[in-house]
Amino acid sequence: MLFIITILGFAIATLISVVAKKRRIMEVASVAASVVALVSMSVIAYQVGTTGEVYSPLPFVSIDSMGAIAGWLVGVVGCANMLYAVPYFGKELAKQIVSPRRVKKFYILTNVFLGMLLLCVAANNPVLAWILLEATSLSTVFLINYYNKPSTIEAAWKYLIISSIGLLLGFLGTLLYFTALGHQGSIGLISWNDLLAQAGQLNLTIAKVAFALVMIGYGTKVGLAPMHTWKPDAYSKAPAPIGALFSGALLPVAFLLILRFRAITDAAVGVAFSQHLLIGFGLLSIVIAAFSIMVVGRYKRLLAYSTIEHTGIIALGFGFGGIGAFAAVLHMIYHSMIKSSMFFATGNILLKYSTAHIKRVTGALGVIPSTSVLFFIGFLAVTGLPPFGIFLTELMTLSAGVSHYPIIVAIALIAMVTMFVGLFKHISGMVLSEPPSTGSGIKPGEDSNWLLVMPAAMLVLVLILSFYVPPFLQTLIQKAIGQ
Amino acid sequence: MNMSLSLAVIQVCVVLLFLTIIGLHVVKKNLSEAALYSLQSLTIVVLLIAPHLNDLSPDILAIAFLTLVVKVIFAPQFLRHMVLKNGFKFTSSTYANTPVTLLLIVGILGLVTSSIFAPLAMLAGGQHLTTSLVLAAILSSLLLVVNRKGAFSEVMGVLSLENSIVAFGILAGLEQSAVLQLGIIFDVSIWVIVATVFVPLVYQHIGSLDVTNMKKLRD
Repeated sequence: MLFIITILGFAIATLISVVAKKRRIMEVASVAASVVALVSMSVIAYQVGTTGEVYSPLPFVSIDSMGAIAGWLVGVVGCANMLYAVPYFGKELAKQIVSPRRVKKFYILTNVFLGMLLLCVAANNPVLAWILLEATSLSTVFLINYYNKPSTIEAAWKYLIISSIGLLLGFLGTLLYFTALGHQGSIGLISWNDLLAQAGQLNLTIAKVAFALVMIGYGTKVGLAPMHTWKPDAYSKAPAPIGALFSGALLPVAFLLILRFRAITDAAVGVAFSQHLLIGFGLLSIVIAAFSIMVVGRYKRLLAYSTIEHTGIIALGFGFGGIGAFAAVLHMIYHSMIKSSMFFATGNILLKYSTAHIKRVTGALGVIPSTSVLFFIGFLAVTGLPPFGIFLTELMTLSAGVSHYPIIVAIALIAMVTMFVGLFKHISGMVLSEPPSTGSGIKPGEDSNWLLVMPAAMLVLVLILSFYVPPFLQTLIQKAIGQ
Repeated sequence: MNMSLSLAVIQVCVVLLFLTIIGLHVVKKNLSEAALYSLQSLTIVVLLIAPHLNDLSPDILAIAFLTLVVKVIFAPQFLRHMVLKNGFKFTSSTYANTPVTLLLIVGILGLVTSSIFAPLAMLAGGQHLTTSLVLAAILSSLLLVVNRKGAFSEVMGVLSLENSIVAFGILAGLEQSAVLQLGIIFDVSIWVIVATVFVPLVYQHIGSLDVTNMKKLRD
């Protein structure tokens, strides 16, 4: 029931955003839908975590432990996103950066996007999950082109073509798993569990090809290298709240699908094949991100490459297994929240400086001190400095692999240090340099204190979770990696 | 009788599917590409029906009818309308020229009939040559997206890739239930609408459909 209410909430908020003429009505409807989603997904996660039972209100809706975590992250990041979007777009409207029509577009498409993501999490059928993930691409492509400039059109076009090809290859991989059913003719609504139960019937080569295609297909959506090329452009051209949703909500959902296919593949061919693919793609992502960071010129691209790096770390963790898999899930949770906070902070920077270029943002600490402090804390948290949880999850991931894959761990560690240096160079340049001259027209002071609430709240949440992981969440993670 | 007729129809359809992709690689007009896509989609409609000639259910007929409406009529018409309305000139630029492209397709044919692709080709039982041709269609569609520099041709490549994968699913007996087929068709129709919104935007902003002119993203 809770889940149905959540989806209905997004459907109603979408309809209201379509018909409403006043921005305030769209905002109230969208925020209300996202709060309902947060509460519902938290309750569902708690239920699944404490009872250990799969949440299944309808025959083809089922939320298991990993689904509960991904759904909860969509709830948290989605709600924070809506709460941040209200003052953010209010300011963009006031500065005549966008028209009311564009803000309307944002609320319509973001509600559709969040609804589709949650349906994808709960879809008990692999093809249905694919359809829903593809549907998220079609809504987000317009959000990437939100500002309707030549560069945003290029980014949206790149995203549309790359993600469509990726998802079609993922679809081919998905179809190959159905060969396990040995069925000629129309295949009914087959659940993930049905496929898992029949995994033994899969031809070994077919299973490997299928998983490789799934890794390429859904890996494109996750942003694993070398399929990551859409990510820096899309992240840098989309409005800040959408960057937060991509990093904090879309990534865990796409990863969830990879993990579901991984379980079937492992049952068919053993763990080694998927392990090697995850480690390979993971390491490549970390290395490519680390060496790209040095030449980045726009600050939202920094966050995109950082996300690619963290996607790689999560893949490495799942690849190493054991404590590494536990760390990977926890890492995903921390990363979603920290990266959302950082994207919100970049929104504040963009509002103040009216530029996306790193070199043109100077002395932010003197101009927007609170945002700068939050952005810098976000940087410290995302690069794995204590006391933030990412320090521990990175340590756990690397220690999980050090005995069997010492060279890979060494390369990953060097790349992670490079990433830290690159990010520090750029972010310290933005925050700690000389403030802009008085003639630049940039007046010191935050645009609105409301714009600080969500970036701060996400960091506080991460800090709490770094010291205290609630028992139900621990159970969820343990069950998720045991699946 | 019906069984052999089914097989013959399937084989003809797959050959036609493959030929339309070669056509998409070779033609130099946007409207010809849209027409070829329409023909290609028609082969998919026939492929949907062909394996069930003995037991045509209302579900299959409904899906075939919807595919006909969406892919054979609606989508090509939509694309055609977009081309005529905006007066798009065809972007014939490719990374590999036509003879090299055709050689690459021959290479793909060699590859899919090799032992590397044997496990996939065997999925359709005795029809492994037909399945190989569908696999070649998948790879050739990917080549179309990669090789062409025109935004419109990229759209055709993605749509052709989708058709080829659906054909593979049908041939390997991996057709989904009617509800899911509906979902896939719905996705395709939305995709076509999105693409037809974006192609004119690309044209307006870069003055042509040549995606290599997209230079605003450079840092």
